[in-house]
Amino acid sequence: MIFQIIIVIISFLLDGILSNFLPFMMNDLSFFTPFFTLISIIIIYPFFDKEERKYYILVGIVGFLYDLFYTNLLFANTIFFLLIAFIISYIYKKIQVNLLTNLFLIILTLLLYHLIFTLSLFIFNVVPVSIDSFLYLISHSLLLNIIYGEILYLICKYLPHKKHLN
Amino acid sequence: MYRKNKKKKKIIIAIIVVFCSFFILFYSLSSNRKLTVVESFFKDVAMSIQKVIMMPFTSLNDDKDTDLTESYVIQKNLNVHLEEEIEQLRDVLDLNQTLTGYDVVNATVISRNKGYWYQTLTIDKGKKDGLKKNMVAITKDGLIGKIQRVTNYSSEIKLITANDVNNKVSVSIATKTGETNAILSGYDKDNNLVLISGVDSQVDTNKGDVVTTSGLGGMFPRGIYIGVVETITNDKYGLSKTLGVKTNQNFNNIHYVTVLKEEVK
Repeated sequence: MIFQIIIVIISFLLDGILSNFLPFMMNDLSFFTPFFTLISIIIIYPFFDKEERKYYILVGIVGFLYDLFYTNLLFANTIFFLLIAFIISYIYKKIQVNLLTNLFLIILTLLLYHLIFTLSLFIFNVVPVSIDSFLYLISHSLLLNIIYGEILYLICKYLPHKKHLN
Repeated sequence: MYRKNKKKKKIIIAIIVVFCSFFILFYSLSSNRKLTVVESFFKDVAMSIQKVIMMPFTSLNDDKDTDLTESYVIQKNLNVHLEEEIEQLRDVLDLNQTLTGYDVVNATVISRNKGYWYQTLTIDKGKKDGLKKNMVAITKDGLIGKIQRVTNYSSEIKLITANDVNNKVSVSIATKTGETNAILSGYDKDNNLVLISGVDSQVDTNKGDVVTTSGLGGMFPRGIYIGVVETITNDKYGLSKTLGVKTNQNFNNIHYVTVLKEEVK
């Protein structure tokens, strides 16, 4: 489990460093917009088999730190991350994990995250959101995160401390 | 019977969790939310850690040693308002809302808000350096935004590109026939232009007219350079115009900012 936690910490730090140097203005995003923290907490789920409670605590803490460091939205990402973790963990139980299903899960995770975030902003009328910008955001966050997610999956799979990976 | 009760209990817990989540989201997503003491403390700790992590990367930026204050005040502001005139106004009318009545604080950008819809930056200076909410943030290329939240050691700057209802700036357009005031109220993402709406169609505005802050409303001091008029669009009734203003600022590449702080008398 310690390896998985290290992976999350590294992803968390990489997320912050990369975002400061890649374009972040709306409609001027890079195709390499990172969401490494989110991807890493999804990839590590199979290694917390029978320790789901610990997994959700970790996701909650990571979400809280993500808000504190990167978004200034107290507990918003904590809720989003937990919600996505619940959904993805349910799917994990239904499928066999391999490179292809992992790809599907990464895409689904990014879609869910942007959808929940954008919908929340729309419901609470905080800032104006549009479908165009939403699609733009998704399209520009897929490439890098898919590559990163697949690499993480392979690293986790061949780690000596792996537990249960179908 | 026991199973039924257990199911009921689960449903009640689920409803409470959903309700609480909605309440928390409503509170936390609001851009005007005030920081609590506990949150400020945690943010300061996080900021210190982040500053250490980012140090090797921020020191790589070329513009670190540029004197932003001098570049901004002398090259931009003096072109629009003569220094002599400002001094006279200050002495006679005791106007503090001019740039010469401001101290400046230079700060480093520590992080950008990863919630892309918000368009905010976090800098490494806060209450301890005398910064307060609504103070103006500039770079050598002009206005970039205002401080939205402050903790002891950090501040969050809302950029002028944020399409937020609370993000209005009163601006002055220097036309051939004189000055006219309007509201900077949006951002054209496709053309990378800051939008000024509600300009009277009778006013003779032209491409290349200089746009600065007007000082009206008391939030932004007068004379801060924003950009030049790039596009002029009439509304469908011909009553008002919308101007697209091209700024010199690359909002994707802001690493150092200057905050205008009111001078202590």
